[in-house]
Amino acid sequence: MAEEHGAETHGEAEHGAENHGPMHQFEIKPLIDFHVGKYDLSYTNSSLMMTFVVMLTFLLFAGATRKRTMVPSRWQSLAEILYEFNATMVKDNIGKQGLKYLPFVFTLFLFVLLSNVLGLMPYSFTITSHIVVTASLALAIWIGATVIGFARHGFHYFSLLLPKGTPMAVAPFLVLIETMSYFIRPVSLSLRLFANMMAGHVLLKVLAGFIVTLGLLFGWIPLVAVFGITLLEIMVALIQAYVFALLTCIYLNDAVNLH
Amino acid sequence: MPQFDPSSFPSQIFWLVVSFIALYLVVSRIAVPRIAEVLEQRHRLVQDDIDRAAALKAETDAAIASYEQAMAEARAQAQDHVRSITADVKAIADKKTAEVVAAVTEQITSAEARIAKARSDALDGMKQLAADSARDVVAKLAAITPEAGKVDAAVASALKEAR
Amino acid sequence: MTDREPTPSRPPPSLEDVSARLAAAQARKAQETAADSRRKGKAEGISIGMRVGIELLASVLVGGGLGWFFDDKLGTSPIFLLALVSLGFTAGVLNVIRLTKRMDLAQGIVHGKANDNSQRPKAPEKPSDDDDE
Repeated sequence: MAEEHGAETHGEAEHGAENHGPMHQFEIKPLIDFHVGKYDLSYTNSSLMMTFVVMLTFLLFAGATRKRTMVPSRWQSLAEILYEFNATMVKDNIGKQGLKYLPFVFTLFLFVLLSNVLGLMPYSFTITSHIVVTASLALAIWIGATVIGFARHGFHYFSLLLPKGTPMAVAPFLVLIETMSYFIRPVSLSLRLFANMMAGHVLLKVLAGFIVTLGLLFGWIPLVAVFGITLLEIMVALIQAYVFALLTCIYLNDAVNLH
Repeated sequence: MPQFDPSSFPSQIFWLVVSFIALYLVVSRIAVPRIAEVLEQRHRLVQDDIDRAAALKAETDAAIASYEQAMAEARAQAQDHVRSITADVKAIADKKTAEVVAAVTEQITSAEARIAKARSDALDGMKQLAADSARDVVAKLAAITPEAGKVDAAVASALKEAR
Repeated sequence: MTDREPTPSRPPPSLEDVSARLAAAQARKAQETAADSRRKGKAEGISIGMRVGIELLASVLVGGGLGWFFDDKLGTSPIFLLALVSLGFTAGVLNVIRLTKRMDLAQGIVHGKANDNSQRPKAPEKPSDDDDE
């Protein structure tokens, strides 16, 4: 579906109004051409959404916390709730010494959350519906946690692969499985977010198409479905951001506290 | 699927890194320090209020306790007073009673002595009278004058028998 | 004297009232943390349900990918593929079992070990680099 990317993107954008294929919403459209060497680093609709995410975060936190009142305003409350949610998650999963990773976990949470939620708006683009993005984030987390683990525990970090109290007979087999588990981590982390974000959006697009196809007489059936699924998708967007941050905490905990 | 078109990968990764770093700076430089400060301040404020209330309450409790102690002391003192006064009064009363009893006893004793004396005097008089009259009767009837000693003895024995 | 009091008509609160409210305030302060972890447990329960399917898919994918890679390099065509796909699937099932266990406890369990971080300090604190490293 996307084979005609690149040169034909502009042409496609021209008749984009009629093109309502369920995969069309995931197209990457360059807005400002920007090439470095052989790499195409153009500023795209995805980059635009990322900019929105950063700006929105900045506005929320810089604006809401400008006065820093004891009795918080509505925006300050929201900022505080988000902060406390993450601080609690980090403290529960890593412990007090994990608080130095709070800015990183909080950044991840906000990035994924805002990407997911902004992507639900009509005609917008979902950053996290692209496997490159989720995989880059997951790999960065995974490599980072591994580096922290080895930096803190040295060679001892390998003991993560052998749970305590394992009988010697099954130990080699278990080490294999645990090693496998460890390598599965970034894949499942990125795949989960990507699949959840994409599936919901495709479903919504397909159902929205049905509204038009079925017309006035039966169009209300998919309309109700779209409404319900949109609510569900908002839930999914929140939960996936939480899960992403939670798993980051769990992996960091393994690296920081080992056994 | 546009997601598996590698030509868009460099751009996505590049802008992801750029915006993620920008977001990290916003979060770590602005969001986290400011909110942590506000929350800590609020927590301290609330804790201070609760602590102050607890201190005031402790003060009140202490005041009540000292009041109650003073009250108990006063009550005990009053009771002591009452007890000592009662004892005094009782002592005085006892003394008075003893005096009266002694006086009355003495009077009774002297009265009894007087009565006894009067009685014996009367008895003596009666003996004399009986003897005289007996002598007279004997003298008149038998025309003999009995010896005074015999008459007296007879009177005495007669009185003994009559008694 | 009386005009200094804000509401002269209302009698001052009785001492019992004051001490009851004070005790309530202190208890509330202590309970806040407990309520937090309960809420968290619920949110985690929902999140775990959404992870099971992907967990299995990812394990088989990783097994298949690694197996294919080794077979391609060593020319041992189906051996590594089969071995690593089954190993991956086993790891995936194990992970799902752990997830369910975690759902039962709904509290910090990773690799079957209990995490003793549930005792959280009351004060929200700034992330500090005070300890180690």
